[in-house]
Amino acid sequence: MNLIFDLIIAVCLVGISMRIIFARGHFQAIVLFITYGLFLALAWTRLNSPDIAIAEAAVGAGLTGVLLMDTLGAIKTSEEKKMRIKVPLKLAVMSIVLVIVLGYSALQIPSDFSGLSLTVHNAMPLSGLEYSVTAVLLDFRSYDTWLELGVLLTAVIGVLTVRRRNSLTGSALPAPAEPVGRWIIKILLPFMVIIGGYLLWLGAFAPGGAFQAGVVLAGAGVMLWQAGHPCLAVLSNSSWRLLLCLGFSTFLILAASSLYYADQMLTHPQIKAWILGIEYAATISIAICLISLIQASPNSKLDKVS
Amino acid sequence: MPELLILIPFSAAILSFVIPEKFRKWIGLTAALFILVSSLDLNKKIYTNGIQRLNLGGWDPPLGIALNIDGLSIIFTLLTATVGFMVSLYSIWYFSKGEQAEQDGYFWPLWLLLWGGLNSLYFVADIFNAYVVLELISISAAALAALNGNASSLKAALRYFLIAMAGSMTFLMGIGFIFAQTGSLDMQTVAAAEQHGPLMFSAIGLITLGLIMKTALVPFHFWLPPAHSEAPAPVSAILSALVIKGSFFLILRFWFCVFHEAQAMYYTSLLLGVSGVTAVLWGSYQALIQSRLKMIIAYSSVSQIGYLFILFPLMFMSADPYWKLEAWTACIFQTISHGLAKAALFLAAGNLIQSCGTDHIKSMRNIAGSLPMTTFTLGLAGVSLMGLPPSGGFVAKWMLLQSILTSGQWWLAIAPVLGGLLTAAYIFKILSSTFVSDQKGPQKRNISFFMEKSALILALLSILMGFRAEEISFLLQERMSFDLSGGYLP
Amino acid sequence: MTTFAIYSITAVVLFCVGLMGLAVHPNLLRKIVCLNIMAGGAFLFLISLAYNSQGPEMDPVPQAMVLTGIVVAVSATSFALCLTRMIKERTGQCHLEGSDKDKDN
Repeated sequence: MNLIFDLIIAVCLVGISMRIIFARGHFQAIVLFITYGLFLALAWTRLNSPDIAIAEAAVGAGLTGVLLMDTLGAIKTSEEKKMRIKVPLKLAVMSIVLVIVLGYSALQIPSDFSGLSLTVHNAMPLSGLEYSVTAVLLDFRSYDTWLELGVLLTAVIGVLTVRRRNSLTGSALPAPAEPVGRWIIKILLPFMVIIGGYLLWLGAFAPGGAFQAGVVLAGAGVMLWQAGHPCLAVLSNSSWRLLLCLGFSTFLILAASSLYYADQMLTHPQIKAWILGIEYAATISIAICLISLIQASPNSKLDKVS
Repeated sequence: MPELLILIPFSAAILSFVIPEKFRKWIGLTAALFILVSSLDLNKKIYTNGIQRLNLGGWDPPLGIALNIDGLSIIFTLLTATVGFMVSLYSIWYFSKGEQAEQDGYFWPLWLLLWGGLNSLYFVADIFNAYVVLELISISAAALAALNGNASSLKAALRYFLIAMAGSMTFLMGIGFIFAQTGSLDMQTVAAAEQHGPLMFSAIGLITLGLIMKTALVPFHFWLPPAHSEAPAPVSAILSALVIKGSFFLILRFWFCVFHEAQAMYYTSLLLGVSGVTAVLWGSYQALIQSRLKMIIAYSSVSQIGYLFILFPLMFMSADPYWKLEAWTACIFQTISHGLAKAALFLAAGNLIQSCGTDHIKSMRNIAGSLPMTTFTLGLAGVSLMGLPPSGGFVAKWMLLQSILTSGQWWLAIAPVLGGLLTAAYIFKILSSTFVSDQKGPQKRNISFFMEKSALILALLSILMGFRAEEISFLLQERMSFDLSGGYLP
Repeated sequence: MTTFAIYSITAVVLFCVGLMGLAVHPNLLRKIVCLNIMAGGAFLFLISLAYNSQGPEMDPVPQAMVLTGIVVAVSATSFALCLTRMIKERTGQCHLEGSDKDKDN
């Protein structure tokens, strides 16, 4: 039964990806891409990775979809040519050869493959956390997480550079939402904040954590912004900048102080409170960075106003 | 402490992002000075005490992530620190007036983040960590390439970024295959594991493909000339002297530390050699027919990168370990001397553009009279690129030719011989136009003292590094964490 | 094992489809979508490895890698989209001339 389910997901994924390539309209391609993200989330639920499924549904289908739609709105031309994509024979043959070579080698993966699961399992009692994915992200491989926050921050700085912007406050807010919209937000917003907080709290012992919580909070922030609510836009320039680099700098301070006190970078007392503190800082930073990534590149009309 | 080389640029980046714009450059310059000092200090430690391996977060690999600092890392760190310091000095004046002034505030945080990323790349000892660092480098480098904000530089930056992203994804897939085969992400553990069969073959192919896309080896060179020539002068210097060297460094790490699947590597190395020779000839020819100075210099990068890849077939065809070592040393020499000379050329080109308003070769008449120092810089860097004695380029090309001849692979000798002639031709093309006297030329603007000097110092260093050959060879031959035939030393 | 085989082969196919789409599509927006398809393939491969591991529980390391990868991918996507928008504003075009020609030699 499960096998049939797997096969259906696999066929759908491949089919959707092909449709995305050959779709004539961009709008159609983006809608298909969102579907692709949802099917991936389904595949990951099936593969026992609920964390990734939450993240993918929120990011791959949600945030990326919003970004793509937003850009499509900005770049759309009136006489959009719906041309058919032709794949050159040479390229098609090369791709098929690549699929065969890589697919054949993927099947050679040793059956006794165990990866690092045993190593992590044995080290779990030492880390003070109950959930292994969070422990890997925030303790065992915290250097990667630090640099990942660096990548997010770099992307925000890159967008600001390309847009020649100095602050988020400069961009015009959309007009305040009509009563119905405000009413929906009033109901949804507390839920989103609660869900974000719950995911963050859950991360210590079950699937969930800083990143998923950050994405949900970012969603709430974008919704508020689009409704014309000024609470984010009135953030002063300096506090907005501090919030952007909060997560990265927390890791930076931890790295520097642990180098000074313990002679080894990124070590910290194995107490849950420490790790949770880092996680909270990372969550806020992720949420603010994602909101900025969406709001700092609005369409040209707003840009000329600012 | 090697960690300082990661901490200083990242702290300076955050600081320069938070403070007001007019103070940013001084933060940047101070950080550059500190990085230079601490990398010289680290160099001394590695030179006298041997390689260092550090664990992060209090966990031993393969559970945690380690840093690995050996002779190869320290050479790349020093190259980055030297070029980085000179470029930072140059940038303070370059971004101080005219239309460049509005780019000043954006340049520093991105450049410091990029510098931090490069330093952490040189210390990398974990294959997934390498992926995250590569992404940090790609995004900051693409944002810097788009700093001008005009349409052609935006297009060039996006073309570069799309290729870099495709390279990263291919690299990530390769990491998946390595993990599937060896069950580890730590380079030392991967190197010790058994490597055979189609899984490893695919991993080697994917990793090499992903990285040569980022290094701009032919046939993935097409993004490089526009991206490097459209960027502001200091950014062009950073991109061609350091950023492409970063991904080349990772190729060296993977090929000589991590992989030891001889058969797959033998065939891949032949392909790399063919691409390298093609790159040398095609790049030099393209440089010769360009009419804009920065395009000539950018195509020259395409050809000089080709020399680096001639190393790979030599390592797998010559049986004599002595000549293997010679080829290996030649390759690193070429990396350093090209980095220094190319940074000097791009900075000098920036001076010319500020003075004449354009970099068209026809409009550069009589600059030998008005900007003698910059002309001298062009000449010196040209000598190093051509490989005339006593420059670093000469040492590199001489050793390369020797090991090609002893290995019996005559076809590879086309590159240094014909490539050298073509290089001489395009360098003379640049220099000859500077000596044409033209009394009626437009008014030339004056160039700041530091901008001329920092370019000159880099060019001088690329000549003088030939005199420090012994120390560099010592670092390369006695301070290695790995054996050239594959795998880590115990 | 069979579940693993199905998903790892799918991952490889998705990766190659994305790569091919990146090479053939002249439009920038579609190129960026194709990069995300490639990323999806690479992530699916890692997760199928985690599922296949024979340890006491699922291997958490590839899961953590994918979470990191998703953040990196969304950062890169938004930066690339911002560049696309600027190019459209400056030139009115949404493709890079010459790039489709150079792509496959």
